[in-house]
Order: sequence, then structure tokens, then C-alpha cells
Amino acid sequence: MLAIFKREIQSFFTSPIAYLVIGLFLTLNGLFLWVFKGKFNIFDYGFADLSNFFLLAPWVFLFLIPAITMKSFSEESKLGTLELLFIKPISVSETVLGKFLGTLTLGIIALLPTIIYVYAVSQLGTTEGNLDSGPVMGSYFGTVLLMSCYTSIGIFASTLSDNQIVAFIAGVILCFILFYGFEGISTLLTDGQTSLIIKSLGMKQHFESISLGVLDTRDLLYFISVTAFFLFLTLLQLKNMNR
Amino acid sequence: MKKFFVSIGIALAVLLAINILADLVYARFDLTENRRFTLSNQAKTIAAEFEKPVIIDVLLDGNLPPEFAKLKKETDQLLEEFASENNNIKFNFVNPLEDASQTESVMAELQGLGLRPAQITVEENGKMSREIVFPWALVNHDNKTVKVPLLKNKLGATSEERVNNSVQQLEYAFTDALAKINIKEKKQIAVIKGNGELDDIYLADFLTSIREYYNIGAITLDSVVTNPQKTLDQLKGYDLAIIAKPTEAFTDEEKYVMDQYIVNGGKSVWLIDQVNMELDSLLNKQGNAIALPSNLNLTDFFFRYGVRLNADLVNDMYFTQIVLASGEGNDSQYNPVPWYYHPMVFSKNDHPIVNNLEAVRFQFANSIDTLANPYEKEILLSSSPLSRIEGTPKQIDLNIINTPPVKEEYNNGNKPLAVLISGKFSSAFKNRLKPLKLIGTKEIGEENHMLVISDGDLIKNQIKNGRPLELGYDKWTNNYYGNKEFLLNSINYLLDDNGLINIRNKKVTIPILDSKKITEQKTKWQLLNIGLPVALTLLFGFVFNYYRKRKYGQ
Repeated sequence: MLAIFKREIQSFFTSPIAYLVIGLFLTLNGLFLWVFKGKFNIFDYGFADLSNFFLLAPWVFLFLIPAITMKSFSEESKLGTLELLFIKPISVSETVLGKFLGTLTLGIIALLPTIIYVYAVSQLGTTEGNLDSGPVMGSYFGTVLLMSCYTSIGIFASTLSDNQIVAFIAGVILCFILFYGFEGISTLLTDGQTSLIIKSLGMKQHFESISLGVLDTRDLLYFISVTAFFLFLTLLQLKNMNR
Repeated sequence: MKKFFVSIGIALAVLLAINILADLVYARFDLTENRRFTLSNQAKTIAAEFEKPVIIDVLLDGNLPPEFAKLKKETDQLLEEFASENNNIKFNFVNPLEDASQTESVMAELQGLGLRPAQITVEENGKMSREIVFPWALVNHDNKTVKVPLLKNKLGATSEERVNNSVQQLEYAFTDALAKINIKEKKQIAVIKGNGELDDIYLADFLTSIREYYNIGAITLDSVVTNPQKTLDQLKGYDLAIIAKPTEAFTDEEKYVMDQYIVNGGKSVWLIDQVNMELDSLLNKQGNAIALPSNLNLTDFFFRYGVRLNADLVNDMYFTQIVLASGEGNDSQYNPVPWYYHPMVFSKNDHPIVNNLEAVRFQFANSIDTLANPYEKEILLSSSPLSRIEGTPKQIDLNIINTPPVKEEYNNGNKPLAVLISGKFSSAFKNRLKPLKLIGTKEIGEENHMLVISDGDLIKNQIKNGRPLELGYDKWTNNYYGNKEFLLNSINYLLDDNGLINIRNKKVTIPILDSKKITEQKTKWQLLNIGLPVALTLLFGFVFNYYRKRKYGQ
């Protein structure tokens, strides 16, 4: 597993893809939060917190993560190297896990430089350093959990087709459904109780709850179980393909 | 293939099972600095005090629209925390409109109890229908019931915003209700009449707000002429007296009765206008009026207690706005304009009464001088450093809004506007000829407080369509000021109910960006926030590849 993980990381950072993805993520965020006028602009927003960033980040990652994961299995499937996977000394599950952790690490590396935003906002507050660290830590933690869900979904999507574009679009759609889809459906219902239940199936609600600065075991378990579920589906799909 | 789908089915079932189980046993950890999502210590103390059962009925159940389902969920979570503090606290959710055949009568009954329903328009298949929800809870304890409003109304807010605001103040609403219901013996408050004080309708909002904590009665000082002894005896039955904006002079006899009430331990809140001036007086053709000192014959009285209310007006650079109409008929426009005679006063947070208080609005306030005498005088509110006083008589003209103020003239600020006097009060009539013979008089009393505020309008609520609006709300500019909270805190403090002040003071302070820094350093932070992360990434890539080349290069 460690070998796969290392190989993933190395192949990312030797190709321009990683820099494009990270650079795109940072530039998009930077422009929306600090330059462009609009609902995400922190200067116009006026409060010393980073909620705008964490409002934006899930949507940016919604496209970026499937873009990173789209090649993970579809490329191998196309090149025919997938067969090798089953005769290699490492097990299939270790390969999946290695690829998953590799992509997640890439995502975390993209997220790291945004700590400068935290510094900026805390410096710009009326009382310097008056930023409440609870919601910030919660939001970063929530973002990592969200990325792990996106990553496992993206990897699963890449097993569905040997066409990378198809894998990418499938990944985006699946991520979208899980992030926002349920909430969207819930707005169509008039019965509040059912609507709340439907809403709680989606990632957005759990992410927002952690972002407030409250760590709830229910939210943690939700993200972990969804990640595990899609990793299991990936495994199932790979084994199914081998047959 | 079949096995494949069976496996997926099992995995899905496991996924659901884990999450359902997680819902049964869970823990929450509050990471926020001010413990926003944890019960405050005040709330815990108040909840722990109950030795007999407290039953909380929440009228939110049944088929609720989504926002209200959220309100219900949050209420449930909060009440669970209260219940875990004290086993005597029990709660349940009921749907008052469950029986469709009795909807009308139940609604009439609930409204009769003073529970206002919330109406929500729901759109379904293009048809709009109205739903009625009663967002209230009833706290029952010891044959008493206190109503708790779950929904906090804010003008112009969508129902979703309304619910979000409400969720934030749920803890306060319930703590306040628990504190109210546990008051064993209500203290008595007298509203003094007979000297041209404000009409009841202008005091209505404040008096309604304190009614649940205190009993209120009116005392007319006019009866001093016929039966002073009876008036004093009646007055002594009250713990606190409010004198709200008298406009007629006090006779020596009336002063003596008030003085004896105070020396005998009665607390008092004096809201005094020393200068006759109203905004309404300016709304004539000329747009001006003359501010004249009013004679209330209280100067010597306050002098003995250690303050002097000056016959002047405070002109403050920290002002509140008024709205003026320009143009005529259909062309009229309503514009908010600065009005320097209505100071916006911020608290200095050094006293429990004014701790964490929102800005208070004064209207044509006078300055107060504190005089040297043995009593302790604490200045609760004062005008801003950028303010000045203007002597009277003086012509006040609406046109001053067109001339920008000269900043250099505002060099006489920090004038006291509300002063709390404490000490063992001795009679203002000590060593003097008494205007009346009364029984039960004292020359020196016990430790006591009195509060002198140099603006009668501080307690005055506005009126719309003949109904009183909330105190501190300005219907013209749609702004809220902290007047009500200031007076509530004052009365709680004077009557020694510090617990009530403390629960009101738990506020979520929201950190705000410094607009001055933003204008000065905007470009710097823009460059830094975009440039640095990208530069870091490139540097990382460079170092990574350099090492890799060195490692595998040879």
C-alpha cells in the first residue's frame, strides 16, 4: 500500500497535473474571496471569519477532485495494465487504499497554503487575532472529511469507464448528488420532518454542522462511512471487472 | 453478477445501519471560543435550582414546514441539555392543531392566552397555501405558566433567516423563562403619576416587559395634597419607583413624600428632561423652535443627593438619525439625516448594568454634574468624547443638518447622562423646615440606590397605528437601540436580581473586519493571498523535482 501511495504522490508531482490543479484551486479561491465583487468577497462581507471560503471550497473541490481521480483506474483499464493489478503481490484493496490516500494527500497539500487566509482575516479584524479558532478548525477538518468522500467517489467513478471524460463527469455528478442533491430534493417537500431526514442524507448539512465549530460524532461517522462505502464499491467493481 | 448486486445491497444496508446507530449514541464537542453551543453557567445554575418538576410543552409538532422542523430540532437539542442538568425538567412536543375538527376553537384559545401564531405561505404545485404554526413553549411549574416565544421577529427577514436568528436566542429565551418562573415573590414597582409624566401608552412596552418579573402599580402624587400620610404609606409598599419624564413642577410636599420614600429604602429611577424640547415641535413651517429650561423644582432635591441636572442640551458627533420628508404630496421622499441632538451612547462596559450593552439612544439629553458629597456616584452612560453642550434658551433649527459640524468645537465631551447614586441616604430635608408632618419619617436611611437619567424619552416607545412598538425601536429608520435592555438591567440591578442581568448579557460577539485597515491595506492582502499560496506551490514543486533529479539523476 505504501508503495502505491508513494508512486501516486510521485507521479502527481512529476507531472504538471498536480500544479495545475493546486494552482487553479488557489487562484480561483483567491480571486473569488479577495478580488471579485460578489457574494464570496470577504472584504464586502465584513465579518472576521472564513465562512465564505468554506462556502466556496466544497464547490471548487467538487470539480477538482474528480479531475484528479478520473485517471486512477480508467487509464489503467484502457492501457490494459489493470490485469496486472490482480497478479501483483499487493492485494487489490491495498492498491485502492494507496490511490485513495495519495489523492487525498494531494488535496490536503492544496488546502495547506490557504492558512494564509486565516492569518489575513485575523490581522484585518477590528481586534487583531480576534478570530474564533473553533469554527476555523472545524471547517478545515470538515473540508478534509468532505475531500475524502469526494476522493472515494471519484475513484469509484473511474472504475466505471475506461474513458477518462466519462469517469470525470460521472464523478462530478455523483459528488454533486451526495453534496447538494439531497438538500435540493428536500426543498421540494412540504413535510418538514421528512425533508429534514432527506437533507441529512447529504454531505452539505453535515459539513455545515462541523463548520460551525461543533464536532458531532454523527457527522464524523457519516463522512467516514460514506467514504468507506464508496471504497468498498470500488473494490467490488474491480473484482467484478476481473471476472 | 447477482452476487455483485447482493453485495452492494448489503453494503448499503450497513451504511444506513451505522448512521442510524450513530444517531442513537452520540457526543458533541464545542470547539468555539465562547462556547456558543454549550449551556452557559448562568443557565446551568438557574436550571439546577428547581426541586419540583418543571414541565415544558413545546407547541411544535406535526406536519411542519422545513424551517420550523429545524427550529423544533434545535429546541429539542437544547431542552435535552437542560434536562440533563436537572432531572426535574421534563419536556414534550405537542401539536395544538392536531384535531382538525377543533382547529378554530383551539386557535382562538391559544390566541386568548397571548400566543401569537406565525403564518407561513407554502407553495405546492403552484398553489399557495397558508400554514399556521404556534412557535411557542409553555413552561409549567408550581401552578404557574410562563410563555416562551421560540420565534424572534425581525422586520424584513425571510422565514429562514427568522428561524436562524431565533435558534441563536433559544437558550436565552428558555433560561429567562426558567428564571421568571422560579421567582418566589414578585417585587413591587410603582409608576409615579400626577406631575405630567408620560402617558401609559408610551410606557406600555417597557411595563409589559417587566410585568412577568415584577408587580406594577400606579401611584398619583396629586393625593399628597389631600392625604400625604396615606400616599407615603402606599408608596412604602413598593420596592422601586419610576418617574418617567415629569413636565409639571413638584411641590415641596410631593418632594418630601418622595424623599421619605427613598430614605425609607425605596429605590428610584428618575428620567428627567431639564429642557423642554421635542422633535415634533420642530416640524412646523419654519422648522425651528426654542428650547427652554423647564422648572421641575427638583434642583435642590437632586443637589442633596449629589447631582445637578443642567438646563442644557448635548450635541454629539455620535448621533442617531432622524427621518425627514422632502418634497410634497406624491413626490415626497423620506431621507434619514444626522441629528446631533439625539446622541448614540455606547457603554464603557465597566458596570454590570451596561456590560455588553448595545448603543442607547438619547433624545435632547441634558448633561449631569456630579457634586461632592459622601454618596458614591457611578456614571453609567456619558456622551462621547466628541460632544459638546449648548446652553438654553436656544433656538433649534432643522436646518443645522445642512451645515456640517465644526469638529474643533466638539471639545467638551464625556458628559454624564446616567448616574447611579449609592449610599446611606440622608433626607434632603434634614435640618430644614419640613413642609408636612408625617409619621414614620427618617433622617438617615439604610444603604440604597437611585438612578438619575437626563432624558425622559429614554423609556418612551414609539407608536404605530395606535399600538405601542418595542422600546428602542425607531420606526422611521428601522433601527434598534439598547434602551430597553439598559432599563431592564438597571431595574434588575436596583432590585438586586443580578442573575437576570447575567443571562441577558450572554452575547455572541461577532468579530468584524476593520474597514480602515481594509481601505489602507487591501492591495497588499490581495497580492499576498493570491501570490503567496501559488508561489509556495511552485517552490514545493521545484524542490520536489530537484531532489528527485538528484536522487535518480545519476
